[in-house]
Amino acid sequence: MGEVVVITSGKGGVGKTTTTANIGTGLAALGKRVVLIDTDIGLRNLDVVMGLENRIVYDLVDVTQGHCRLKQALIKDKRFDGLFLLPAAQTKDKTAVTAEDMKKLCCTLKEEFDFVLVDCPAGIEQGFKNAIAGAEKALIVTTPEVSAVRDADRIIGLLEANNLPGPKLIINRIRPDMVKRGDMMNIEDMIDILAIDLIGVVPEDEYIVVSTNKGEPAVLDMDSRAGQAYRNIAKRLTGAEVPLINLDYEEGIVNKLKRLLGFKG
Amino acid sequence: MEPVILKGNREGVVVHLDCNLDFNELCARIEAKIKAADTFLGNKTEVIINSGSVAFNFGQAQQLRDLLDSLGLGIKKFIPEVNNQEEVLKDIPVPQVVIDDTRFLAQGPALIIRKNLRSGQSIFHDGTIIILGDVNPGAEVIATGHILVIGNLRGIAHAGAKGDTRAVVFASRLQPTQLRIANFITRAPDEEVLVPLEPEIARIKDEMVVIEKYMQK
Repeated sequence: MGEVVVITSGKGGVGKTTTTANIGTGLAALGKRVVLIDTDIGLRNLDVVMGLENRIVYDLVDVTQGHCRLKQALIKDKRFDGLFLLPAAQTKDKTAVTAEDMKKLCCTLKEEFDFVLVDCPAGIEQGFKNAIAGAEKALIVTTPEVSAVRDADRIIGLLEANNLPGPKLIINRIRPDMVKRGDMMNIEDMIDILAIDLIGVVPEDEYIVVSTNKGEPAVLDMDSRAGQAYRNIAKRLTGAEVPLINLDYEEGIVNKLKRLLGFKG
Repeated sequence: MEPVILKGNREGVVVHLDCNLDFNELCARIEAKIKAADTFLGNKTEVIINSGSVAFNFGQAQQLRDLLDSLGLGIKKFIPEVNNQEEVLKDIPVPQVVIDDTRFLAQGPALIIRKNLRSGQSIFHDGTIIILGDVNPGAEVIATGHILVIGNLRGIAHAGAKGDTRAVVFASRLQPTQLRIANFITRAPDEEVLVPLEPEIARIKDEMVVIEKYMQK
């Protein structure tokens, strides 16, 4: 019996879909059987980020409306045998699915998979309600911006009201150099406001843009720092104790040379 | 009723003919009538031939022209008009339609769309769809007949959606996310593919979707 985890944020553009794709792929790389559900009906992206867009024949709406069997709509990942995607419909809207449908769907899927990751749309309307309906756990993604943190706080309140307590926080796109200069909110500030457990911190990484465009999750790139952070989050989800990555080692080639030449401690 | 009646009206002299008569008999009667009315009709008068509900064919009309010409008259017009069709068809050889190319046997009425289809937009039509514009990724075009895109086809196209394997998908730039014809589905390769530089056409050949250059050199 697996668990259903919803990845949500309230605010758009903070990296829910990227996080879902990377954590899902990371869990599959650890040998888990994982299914990703895109609930952003009408604005689907997860299939693109996973590089599976051209394989879509049936989608979430087809399943809930009984146009096809669940097995027919699940798209097997190109890299891992244990990873599947249930894409959202693009030509419908959020009202095409009800919270009740999602509950049933999640129940069926968790029988077969170790992890059911639900990628939630931005906002707190029908799409959000659908996404959290079948979830047992929640991961909140936020960026170190006041607006994102404000929305995350609102989401945490809504999750509590919907009997989904104990969400975990993922801080995305943090820039240690800016935090150090005091130009960006630091991790402690955010945890102080949100008062929930931290499950991972993902540094800003240009490679994410490249990997998203290519449809290959960064988690598989051993050189990507964001990828490393996502690998750690995946391990923590399986129950392993992994320390937070050291955010301080970021330095350019110039600095590295300076240090090697002894100009800088 | 008199088979040939001459009458004048604002347009000129009208020759009313009874077409129940044999055509040659009619010609003889016309000749007799006009000769009798020699003084009534001036020289070189152009008359109107009214044959009631029957239209003369091209040959008959020519014969009448010759007859009146020999009597020093002309013909202004025929009412009803001369039926030229069969004569035209006789003169021009009917082109032999070669049916080894079923590409454009359109099924049903065509739907013409003059705009770009964007992500999330979906078009269904029972017949052929012609799009003068682009079909972007995330958009879908479903037709029971052919799909012709005068533009970039980057989304999903499903031709012959009710199972017609003769249906084709044509696009100026054919680079769909997914291509379906009848019950066959193909998808774009995962590797980077070159953008096609010329129109291509996709159809079913030997139980497979094949894509060919449209212009054969």
